[in-house]
Amino acid sequence: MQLIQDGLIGAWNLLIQQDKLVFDAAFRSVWISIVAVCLAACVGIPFGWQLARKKLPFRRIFVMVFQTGMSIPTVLIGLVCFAMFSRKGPLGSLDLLYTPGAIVLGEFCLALPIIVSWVYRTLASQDPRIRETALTLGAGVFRRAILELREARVGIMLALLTAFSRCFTELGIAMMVGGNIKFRTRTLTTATALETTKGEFERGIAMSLIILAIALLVTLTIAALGPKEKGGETC
Amino acid sequence: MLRIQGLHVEKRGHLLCHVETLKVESGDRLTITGENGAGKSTLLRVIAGLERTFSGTVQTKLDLNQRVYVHQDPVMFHGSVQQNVEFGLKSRGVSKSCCKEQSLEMLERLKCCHLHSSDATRLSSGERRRVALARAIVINPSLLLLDEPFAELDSTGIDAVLQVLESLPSAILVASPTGSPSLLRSESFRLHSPAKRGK
Repeated sequence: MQLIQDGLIGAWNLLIQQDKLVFDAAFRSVWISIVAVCLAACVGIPFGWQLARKKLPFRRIFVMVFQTGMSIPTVLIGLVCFAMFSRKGPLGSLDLLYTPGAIVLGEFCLALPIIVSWVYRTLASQDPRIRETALTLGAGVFRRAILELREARVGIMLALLTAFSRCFTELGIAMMVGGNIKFRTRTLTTATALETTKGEFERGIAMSLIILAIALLVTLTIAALGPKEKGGETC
Repeated sequence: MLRIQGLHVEKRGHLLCHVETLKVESGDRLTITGENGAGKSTLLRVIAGLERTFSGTVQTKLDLNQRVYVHQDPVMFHGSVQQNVEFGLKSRGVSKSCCKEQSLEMLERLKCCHLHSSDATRLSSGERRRVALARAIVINPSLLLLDEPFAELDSTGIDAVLQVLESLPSAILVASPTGSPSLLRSESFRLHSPAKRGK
């Protein structure tokens, strides 16, 4: 108990003093997760719309694959990415291994199935009158897609926040393809694991507190968005 | 303008609508009557191009965006009433200033101009119906397909809607349950319940 108490006090002091190691890892975790989610959104939102609205070949298989992808362990994604980016791998010439770019691409693979599945599910359960009204009023495919996505924006926001939350708190990918290099690829989760094994319990707790605070912020945002969606469906 | 022959709509083994012949010419007013479940909405949806699984012939030279269908329970998009009414105009590439002018004029004619800046998803059902009609009529379609347009409207609303509809050059098909208000000077087309016809 004393260990935890001392750890919390030490962690608080590190946060107050804006410890360089802690804040560097925190900043990197945030930007890597944001970039990965943005890239996944650029691919995942249009693809989720296509899955929900177009009769694509193998649609059911795609849906099943992406839904399964939501529960893939991050270590497995890390392992596959490692094999791809390692010198002998097919993308070895890009020299991405142990760079933040490799973590971004790994987290992109983690976020993509979450975004595609959520967007698909949100649009598949959307009131069909929205699409029909747009169609009968003469909206083209692009305008209809924009309208449908705008009407489903709460569901899409939840998808992005869930994907961000998953990327921000993952460990496997950052550890395997990032390599946990100080001031280069160290993220909050890899740094927490390292500092704890080194016996730097206070720093570990300080980093965990930041992870917890950001995860809590995301959860609160999701909770705040959720009921509004219910109340908003008055028509 | 529109010719239907031997239309037969069936879903999961249930007959939803059957029409032997129906002919609509430009500027026609037709009230489709029938009991609940007779297939009035299904017929309008087939004409609008929203229902594609049917047998028989539906011949028309009108594009999909010239056949505008208003649902029995219309849905509003998120945004203001004015943005909703402008949707169809914007889809047709009408300029921003014309969109505003035309949408406000149509709302005025349907006696709901005071709602133009209100949140469209928070309207009462009667207001929603009038806004949905404004949204459909403002784009001046060749064929207007209205599914029970007078339901939930008060007498002022019914008068305003009737007045606007009577002044339109478009052909208008109104699905209306037997006994409810209908268009003046309209012909009647009665649909029979598929269940009864089967007996």
